[in-house]
Amino acid sequence: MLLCAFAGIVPMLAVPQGPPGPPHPPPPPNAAPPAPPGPERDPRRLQQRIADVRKGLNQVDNADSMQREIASFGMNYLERSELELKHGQLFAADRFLGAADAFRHVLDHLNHILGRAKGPPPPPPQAISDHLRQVYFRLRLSDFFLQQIPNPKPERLSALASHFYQLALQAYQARNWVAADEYTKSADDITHALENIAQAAIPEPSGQRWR
Amino acid sequence: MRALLQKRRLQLQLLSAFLAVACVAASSVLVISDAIRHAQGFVLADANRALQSAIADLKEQYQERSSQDSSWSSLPLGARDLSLRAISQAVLSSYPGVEGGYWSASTFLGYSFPTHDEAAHKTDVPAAERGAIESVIKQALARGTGQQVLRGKTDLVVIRAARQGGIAVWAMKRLPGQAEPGAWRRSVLLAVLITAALIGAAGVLGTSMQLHRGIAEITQGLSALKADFGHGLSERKDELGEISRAINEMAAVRRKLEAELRREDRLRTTGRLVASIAHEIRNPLNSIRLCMQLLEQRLEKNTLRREDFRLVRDEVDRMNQLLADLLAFQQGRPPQMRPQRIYPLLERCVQLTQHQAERRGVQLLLEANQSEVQASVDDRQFMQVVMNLVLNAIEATEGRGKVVIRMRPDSDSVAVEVSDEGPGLTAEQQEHLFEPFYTTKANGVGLGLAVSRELMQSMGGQLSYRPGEGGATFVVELPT
Repeated sequence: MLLCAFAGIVPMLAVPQGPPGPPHPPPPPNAAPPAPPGPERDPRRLQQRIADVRKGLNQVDNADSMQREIASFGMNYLERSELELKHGQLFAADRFLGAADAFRHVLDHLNHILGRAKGPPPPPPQAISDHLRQVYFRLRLSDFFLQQIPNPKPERLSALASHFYQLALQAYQARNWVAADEYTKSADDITHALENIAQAAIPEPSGQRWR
Repeated sequence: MRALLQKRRLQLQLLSAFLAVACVAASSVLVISDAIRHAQGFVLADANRALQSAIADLKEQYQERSSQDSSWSSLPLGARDLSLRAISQAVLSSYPGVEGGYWSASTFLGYSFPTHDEAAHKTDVPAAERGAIESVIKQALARGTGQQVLRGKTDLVVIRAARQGGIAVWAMKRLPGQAEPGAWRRSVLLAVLITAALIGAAGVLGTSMQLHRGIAEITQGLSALKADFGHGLSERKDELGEISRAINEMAAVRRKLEAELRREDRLRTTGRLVASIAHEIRNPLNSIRLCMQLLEQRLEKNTLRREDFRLVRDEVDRMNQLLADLLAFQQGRPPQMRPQRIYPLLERCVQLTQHQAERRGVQLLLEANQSEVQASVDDRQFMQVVMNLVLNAIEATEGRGKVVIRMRPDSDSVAVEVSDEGPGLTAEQQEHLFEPFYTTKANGVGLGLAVSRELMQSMGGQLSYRPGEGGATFVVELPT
């Protein structure tokens, strides 16, 4: 039903496509190397990735309160990843690391919006609209993920995801394609972070696969 | 035929009502069965549409999720199960009554039933349908799609599945109370209808029988009432009882009116009786007075004759006879009934009146085709009645012809007719014929026929007048 309701909203969001944007620039220098498929099984590589993510999270000079809050969440889950790694819980460490990495992506998106770093050019408005629709659906998933996370539940994250979604909508309506795209991605990243945190609570799979 | 239709109209109407009830019941059974079948078809089609749409949404969201993150497909089952449960929870919350999820590597993933009353506790595939769901999933993996409808005692369960890459997406909807019409629901409906039809038919038949019985009772009661107006109809407690009550009330009113009329008649008769007695006594007294004056004159003239005294004696005898008749009419002894042949009694009456008839030039005839007929009578009183009738007939006929006494036996009675060839009776005379002191004779007292009727009634018989062509006929009837 919500999907149907959203289907009613989307046509309102649809706007005439503007002129084609500039060619896609190379990925930002602080982007993480592409992750291998599936969760990390090697503790050393995990350690390395933790170090990379920490580096990204620490680059919050002249950050506003929102960025600091995001960075704080990222650092928190990064520490939990390290802790799980120390206890040999590779799957949980991988999931918390994924959550921390998602927060690092959010910081990147916010930096792109503020112009502190150059981000990729925005996709066509229709693609942003499709992404918004998908994020709207994923916001509903974030409620479920929040329920699965043991206490204390990071309810603020769910609120943040909704907040970024609202900002994305406003930017879209203002035809600010860059902001619309980056806020949409931020909301999506936070729901991914919630999904990772919820998955980290799942008991460690049996067998040697994760050790 | 028309008369029969009119006579049996009520029964025919009730029969028509009975047939109508039966037709309505049978038609209802057919219509409801048909409607249930059609309704089931609609419900199944609706469920299938919902399941198809839900599966399409689940497939789309799975596609989105797996394309977003290439490493997601490599996550352990538990992690993917959580992600997919979130998806199915969000998708299926838009489909009331639909549960479902995914199937990968022979394992159910992402199962949820968000619209279940206790959705939080519905975390696993329903055990009862698990085998059927797996079967449908295998069908979908082999052919692209699969479907099955399970029919329980009361529920229908529709299961659909579709292939999505190497996995399957499935959804299921339970339809409570929509099982095959041959099951519980149709059975109950049919039972209710048949019961209603039977009750209706029994009601019509019962009403018919009650009406028939009630009408028969009223008819019998009316027949009894015709013979005896003191008879009361039995009063039922239903609507027909109202009719019986109304008839009884009407009879009571009529009895009261009759009593009033009798009382008035008695008063009138008493008045006439007093006048008659006064008249009857005054006449001889006048005669006696005249005779006594005559005797005084003749005594003075010394011409007294024996005949003069006889006139006085005759008038005294006449008054004596009058008083005797009055006493007989008033006191009348109870009849001494005994069965005996009637014919000899009639012969005796003829013998006793033969001389009188001959003196008046009247021929007296006795006719009877059966002389052995018996009846229970008081012979003296019976002969008194017959002789009275014969003597009246001789007087009325006088010199004009004959008087015939006929005995006519019947199945349960015997009638004795006394016919004369006299002038007969006028309508007014017929009306007062049996009243005391009513007479058509110049020197009659007018008690003969009144006494005769009383005697016949005391013997359980009747005395009546039957007008004929020329002359009069009196009929005495006795039960045999």
